[in-house]
Amino acid sequence: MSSHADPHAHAADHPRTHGHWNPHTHVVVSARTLTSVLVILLVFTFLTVGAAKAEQFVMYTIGFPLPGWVNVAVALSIAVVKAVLVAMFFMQLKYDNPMNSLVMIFCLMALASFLGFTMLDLGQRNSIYPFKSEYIVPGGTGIKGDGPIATLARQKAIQDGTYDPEHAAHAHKFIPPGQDDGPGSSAQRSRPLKGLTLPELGAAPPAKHAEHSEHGKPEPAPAGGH
Amino acid sequence: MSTLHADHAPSGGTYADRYVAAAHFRDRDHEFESVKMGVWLFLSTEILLFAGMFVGYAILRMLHPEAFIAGSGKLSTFWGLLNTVVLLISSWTVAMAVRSAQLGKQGALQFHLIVTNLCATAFVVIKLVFEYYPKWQEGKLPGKWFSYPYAVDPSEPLWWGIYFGSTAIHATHVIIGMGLLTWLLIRARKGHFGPHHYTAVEGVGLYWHIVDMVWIFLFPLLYLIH
Repeated sequence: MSSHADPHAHAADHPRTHGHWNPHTHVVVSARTLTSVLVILLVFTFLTVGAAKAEQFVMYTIGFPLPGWVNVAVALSIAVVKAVLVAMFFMQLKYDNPMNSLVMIFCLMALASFLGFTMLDLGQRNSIYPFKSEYIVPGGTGIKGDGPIATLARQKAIQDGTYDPEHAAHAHKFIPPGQDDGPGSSAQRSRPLKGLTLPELGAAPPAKHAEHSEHGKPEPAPAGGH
Repeated sequence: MSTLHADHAPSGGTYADRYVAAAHFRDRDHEFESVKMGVWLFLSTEILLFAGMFVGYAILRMLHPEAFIAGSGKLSTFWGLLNTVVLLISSWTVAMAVRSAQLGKQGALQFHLIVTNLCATAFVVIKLVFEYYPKWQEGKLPGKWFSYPYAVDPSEPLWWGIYFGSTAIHATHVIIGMGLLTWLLIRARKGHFGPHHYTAVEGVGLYWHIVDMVWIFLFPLLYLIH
């Protein structure tokens, strides 16, 4: 059967809703459907920004400590809904050969297994380090010098006279109001999640820290609510 | 039922009307569906390419949550949001371009292809001029090129590696897409696409949607951390 023989097959301007995919019937998704999907996608885009702002408001203005996964969970849930809409209507998987959906689903299963096994590994690090630590060699930074790249960048700016302590105190967003006087993360001191940071990136000796304070650099505020 | 060379080549009409499938396909629909599945298989490799970056993102964010919060705070949500809106609109126009080709509306097809390409250009311009260039100037660069002196976390160079790595590969896909859209426009102006033959429009459209879909995930994961 030639598609040419059936001129109406291509102009079916209404999407099928159930099964019976037929390679000779090319579904033309209606402009109304496509535009509705675009509007929903835009609404969800503003929703994900709004949700992030709301989380910040709850954490820093109200002072309620949201757990760290809320940020990721909300952002990814909205992104998954948007991606499904794009795949179903813009990419027409809803009306398409089911085999194409299968290709996509297998691919996403591969992605899930990558992420899953990575998370398993990361989650077990604390039980591995005690007997593996003697074999672990810290990697280099790729540049000459002693210390983290961020610290060297600061030292270089201080030497060059381009370092502005005022800027250092005001350069960062997300400083919770009322918390910017306490000690927090700095280029000399990191607060890793579970003690995973290598010694080179961890706490610096107090003497080195004092040396930087002489240059009049105010203590940076905590960068987050953790 | 299907026979080899079921298509007849009409003498009149446009290129799309006269189009005959390659000899190893039963008919044009067989060719169309085969090409489409080939595109889907290619798209699955694209997803796996970005999957590697998402896994890298997950590892580094779990290891250095504060660096990601500090780094994300230095991105402009405004430009990220604008780029998301631009890309979503371009996804809609490319879906409309496929629809126009299916219905044989040559003017609408060319119009939607042009608007899609303009959106792609806007995306790249915003990315380079308002995001990459200022960060480059301030030394917010990946790894050993990092020279920004006001880092609040020693692992910020890692964050900039993830940011520039993922967005640059995504932007490369957008630029490749611009080339493909230009190719489609040239062919559309020659009357190559119509209800009986729009395989290339469909394939590039699918590619463009997957680029959009990757950005749907990159935007919240990069810009909305707090």
